[in-house]
Amino acid sequence: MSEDLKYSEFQNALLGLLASGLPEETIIATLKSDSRFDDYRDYVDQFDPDMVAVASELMGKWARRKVD
Amino acid sequence: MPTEDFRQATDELFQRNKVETLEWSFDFGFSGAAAEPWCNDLLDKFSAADSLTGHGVELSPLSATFSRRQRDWLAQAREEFQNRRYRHASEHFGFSEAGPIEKGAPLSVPMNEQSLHRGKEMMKRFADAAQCPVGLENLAFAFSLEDVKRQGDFIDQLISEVDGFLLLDLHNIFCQVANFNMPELELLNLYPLSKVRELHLSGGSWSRSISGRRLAVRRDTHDDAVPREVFNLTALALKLCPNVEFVILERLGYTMMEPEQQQEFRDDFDTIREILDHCYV
Repeated sequence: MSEDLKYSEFQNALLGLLASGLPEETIIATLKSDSRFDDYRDYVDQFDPDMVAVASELMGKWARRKVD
Repeated sequence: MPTEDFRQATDELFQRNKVETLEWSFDFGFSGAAAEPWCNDLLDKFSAADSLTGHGVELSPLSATFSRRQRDWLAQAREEFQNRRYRHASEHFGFSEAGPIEKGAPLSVPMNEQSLHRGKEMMKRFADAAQCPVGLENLAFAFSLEDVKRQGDFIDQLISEVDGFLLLDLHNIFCQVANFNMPELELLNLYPLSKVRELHLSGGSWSRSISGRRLAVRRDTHDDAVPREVFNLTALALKLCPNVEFVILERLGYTMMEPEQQQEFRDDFDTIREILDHCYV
């Protein structure tokens, strides 16, 4: 997978998880366990759970899903 | 904000010619919403006086994929900037569109070669559409302390691509100082302060810490008066940033429904005026 594609898939997965309503620990663990994002594991390792919770709340309040 | 409570809060300020610059979220109408006549009258007046700045919300400059929605946004922005004169245009650092999500609040990105490349490309598109100086606003949100420490330099690399500017949001700085225990001066010095052309001031709120690592989490909710800490940061920033041209007081619509809140907003405006008068005497 190209680096650009990995970046794109990481963003897709991150927003999808933040919009899912899952607990922040589950979101972090899911990203870390996905082998597609091995290159982002150090980045995700540093995630502050409070900030992941904030991001999830922001998604709940402001996010608009794409309409097919 | 084109809402009735904002109009009521600011009417006296406009009537007394206290407002020198107006900032407009120019993508407000891109999805079909229409501003009230009073709002359009103000925009036209300040544009004619060359005192209007533009602040986009929905571009999502650091999205990994260039979408049709972004392409349409840029086309609409081009038309808007042809129809009204703006001194400059800004957007938010970060991304809000990816996967199933079309738009939302901007979040930070892994700051790597891929995001830098994508961001630089988008800044060039933004500059081409606006045909005026473009810049980025620092985020309050960060996933980690590392995010906080790297954001300034990364933004500098992005805006350098278009000879752009930094919109320094001081409440966002306050959020990061509070949430990550960063000293104010240390955090400010991580930003390209000579490229600051505009300051944002606003209020916010506190929310519960899920992890218990903090007493509370500071949020950039734009729904309250400006805290004293942000006024102090303003005085400091004005000393450190030699090229500030605009200072904007922000407030979300429908958050000043009571007369006391509207008076508080006007009082905050007057406090900013006093700080500016003191700094630029």
